[in-house]
Amino acid sequence: MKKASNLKSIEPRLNVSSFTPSEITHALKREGIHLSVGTYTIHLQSAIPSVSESISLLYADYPLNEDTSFADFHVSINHPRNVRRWIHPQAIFRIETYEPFKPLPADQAYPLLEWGLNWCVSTQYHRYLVVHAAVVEKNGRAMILPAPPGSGKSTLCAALVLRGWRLLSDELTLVSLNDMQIVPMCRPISLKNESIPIIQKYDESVTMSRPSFDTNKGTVAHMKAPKESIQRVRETAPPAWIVFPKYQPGTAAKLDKFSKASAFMGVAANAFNYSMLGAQGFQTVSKLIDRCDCYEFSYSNLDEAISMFDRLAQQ
Amino acid sequence: MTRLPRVLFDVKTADTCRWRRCDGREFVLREWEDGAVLYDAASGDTHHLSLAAAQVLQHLHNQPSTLEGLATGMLSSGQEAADGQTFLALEALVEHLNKLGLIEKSIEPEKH
Repeated sequence: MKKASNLKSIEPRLNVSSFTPSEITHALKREGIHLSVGTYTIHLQSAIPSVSESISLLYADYPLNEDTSFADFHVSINHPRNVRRWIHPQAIFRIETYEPFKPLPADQAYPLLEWGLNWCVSTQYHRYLVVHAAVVEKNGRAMILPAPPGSGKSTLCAALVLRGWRLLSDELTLVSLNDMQIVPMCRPISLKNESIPIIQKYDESVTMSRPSFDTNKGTVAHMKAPKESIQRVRETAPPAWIVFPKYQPGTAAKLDKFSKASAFMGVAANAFNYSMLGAQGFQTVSKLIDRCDCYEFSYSNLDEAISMFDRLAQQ
Repeated sequence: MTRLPRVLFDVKTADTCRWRRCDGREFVLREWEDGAVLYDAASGDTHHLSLAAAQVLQHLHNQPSTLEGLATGMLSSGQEAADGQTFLALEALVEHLNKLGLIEKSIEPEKH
């Protein structure tokens, strides 16, 4: 396998796609790879083929960090060392030597990795307010979409980025405590159940992982983030809108102003570290609400939704 | 800021007990045109409040007050008194803030 550090003078930076899938599989099995995802670096090791397959596919445009002496998160996903290696094999996620979750069926290894990485950020990144929300950007302004599971947040986020909005994150919004900028954490978009064929139909050129069935969220597949969003992953954006989306079958798209105090409570309820940050969490959410127009949004048709948000972005 | 409506107030129903913000508690209050939120540093709780509730807390921050004093203090300029219905609403609001642990009955002797 080519060494990123040896080729520094020839190529400014090597991406995952600089290597063949078999080279990635080999590296993952042995010493692991150092993936650079915007503000953080992941050292990932895995001997599970579905993981290396998904990494080669969905992380193709991500740079490999040349400095392998440091990583924010040292994670691995492997088969547990027990009889389940051979009978109904499982996968276990580790950060260093800690196992935050119970093993899952090996078919769910890749989604487990993504969930594990979300867990790493949401439990350890306290220099940010970490909100369970998708966040996208257009014309230099960020739109935050906090919502509970089942609200259609990720489907809407996927559709927006397929129509030109920049993906900052589909799952975790990082609000800098210093300057209130939204810090991108652009990774593959997690889609569930009916959303998978809806997005595949919405844009037939979309790149998606092989689905994992019977997870605790149903069927799960991950959509590759647009190349431009990955290239701009270090570019922060100021927050401009907070939109609470709700998928309501058969209804026309409707965007209503939302009370700022209610929006505050909605953001706080979706922030993983709001209580931990104490008064600083309160002040940060207050500033976020001050800087944003807040809306409730219901929709059933993605095109209607996109056109409504595009109009908002032009104002 | 929302003001209580311009109505008459029946002083005969007034409770003479004085209310104050809970001793030693640090609150941070933020108001917007359609509501308010309050952070209680002691408990770490955040409360979603009406503007009227925020106004009561601000009033009690300055000094303990009876319901009558609160009603008078919250009247908008030019208003002379609040009616019984408004007073009952204020009483319920005070009771609610008391249940949330944000205000308490004052133990200071009443000045005559």
